Amino acid sequence: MIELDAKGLSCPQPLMMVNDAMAGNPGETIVVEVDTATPRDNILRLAARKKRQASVEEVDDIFRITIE
Amino acid sequence: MDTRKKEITTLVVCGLLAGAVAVVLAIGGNPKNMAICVACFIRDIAGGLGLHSAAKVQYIRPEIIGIVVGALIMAIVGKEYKATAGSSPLTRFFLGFMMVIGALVFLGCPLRMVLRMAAGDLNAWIGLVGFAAGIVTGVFFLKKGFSLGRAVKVGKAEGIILPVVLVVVLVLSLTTALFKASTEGPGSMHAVVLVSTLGGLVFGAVAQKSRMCFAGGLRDTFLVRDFSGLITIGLLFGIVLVYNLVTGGFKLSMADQPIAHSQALWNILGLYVVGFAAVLLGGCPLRQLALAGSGSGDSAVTFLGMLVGAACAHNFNLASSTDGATMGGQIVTIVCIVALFAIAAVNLKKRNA
Repeated sequence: MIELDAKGLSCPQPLMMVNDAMAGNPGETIVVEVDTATPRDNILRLAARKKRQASVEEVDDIFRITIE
Repeated sequence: MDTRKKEITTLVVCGLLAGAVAVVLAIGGNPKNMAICVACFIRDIAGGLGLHSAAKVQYIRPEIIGIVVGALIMAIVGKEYKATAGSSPLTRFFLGFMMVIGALVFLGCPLRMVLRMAAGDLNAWIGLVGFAAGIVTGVFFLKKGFSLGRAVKVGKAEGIILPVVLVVVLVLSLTTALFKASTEGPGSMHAVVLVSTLGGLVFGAVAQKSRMCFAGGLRDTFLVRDFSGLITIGLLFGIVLVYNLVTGGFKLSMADQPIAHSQALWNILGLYVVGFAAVLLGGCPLRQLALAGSGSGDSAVTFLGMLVGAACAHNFNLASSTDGATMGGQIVTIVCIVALFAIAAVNLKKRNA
C-alpha cells in the first residue's frame, strides 16, 4: 500500500502525485490525504477514468481517499 | 457512472449560467468584448481606489466583488469553505503581479481572451497560442517537481477578510464620493450596479462550483487527458458566440477590434506570461478570485498582487493601448518571462517535502 500526503498542495500537484503513483505501481492500493474538495474530486475522477475503485472518508476536515 | 453524469450536468449548468451572465453584462453596457474581465476589472478597481491615475480606467467594478462573495457563499453552502494560507505568499504576490501585467499587455485575462475569440477577434486566437505555450511551460516545471509548498489550515476569519474588505469598498463606492469613476473610456462603460453585482455573484458561485479555470482546463487536458474543465469554458464561448452572431457583434478580423491591438508578438508573449504564471499559481485570475472566496489566504494575497500589478501597469505605462504594446510593456514582459523561469527553477523538487 502506498500512502501519499497531498494536504495543502495547489492543483494539480495532488492529482500528479496520485497519477505518478498509479503509473509506477500498477494495481497497488493507494491511500492519499487531501484537505480541500477540488483535489478530492480531481483524484476521484482520475480513479474513475483509470477504472479503479475509490472511496473517501472525511475525518477532522481531511479527506482520506483509498484507491483499490 | 451516476456520479460522473451528475458532475457533467453540474458543469453544463454552470457553463450555461456563466454564458448567460456574460451576455447580460454585455447587454447591460460593459465595454465591448469585456462583459467580464478579471484583469481589466481589477485594473479599474485599482484606478477607482486612486492607485493609478489613468482617467479612462477607474471604476469600482461590482463584478469582482460579486465573484469573490459569490464564491464565498457557494463554498459555505457546499461545505467547502476552508481557511488556509502559508504556501509561499510573497512569491504568489509577485506571480499575481506579473500575471496581471501580462494580461494588460495583451489587453485581457484568459476569460476576456475567450470573449474576444467569441467575437471573432483574431488577435485573441493568436494570443491563445501564447497562453497555451505558457501553460505547457508551467506543466513542464510541474512535472519536474515544481511546488510553492503547502498551505496549512488557519483561523476561519483569515479567509473572510478579503470578501469583507471588498464589500466595504463597494458600499463606500455607492454611498460616498471617496473613489474615482471614469467619465469617458472603458471605465465609464458599465452595467447598472445591481446587474453588475448580481452578475458577479452568480459568476463567482458558478466558478466556485464548477472549479472554472481557464488555465486549469487546458493544463489538465495536457497533463492527464481530463477534458472536464473545458466543458464550462466551451459553453461560455458558444453562448457568447451565438449572442455576437445574432446581434452583429461578430467581426472576424485582426484590425479595429474593440479595446485590442494587433501586435501578434506581444499578444502571444503577454498571454504566455499569464499562462505560465497561472500554472505556477495553480489557477488563472478568475480561479484565484474563486479560491480567495473559498478561504484561501494565498489566493487573497495573489489578488493583492494583481491589484498592485494593475496599478503599476498604468503608473509606469506598461499596459498596452489600441496602438499596441508600449516600450516599457515590452521590456517588462521579457523581464516577467525571465522571472517566471527563475521562480519555477528555484522551487523545484519540493513536492514531497
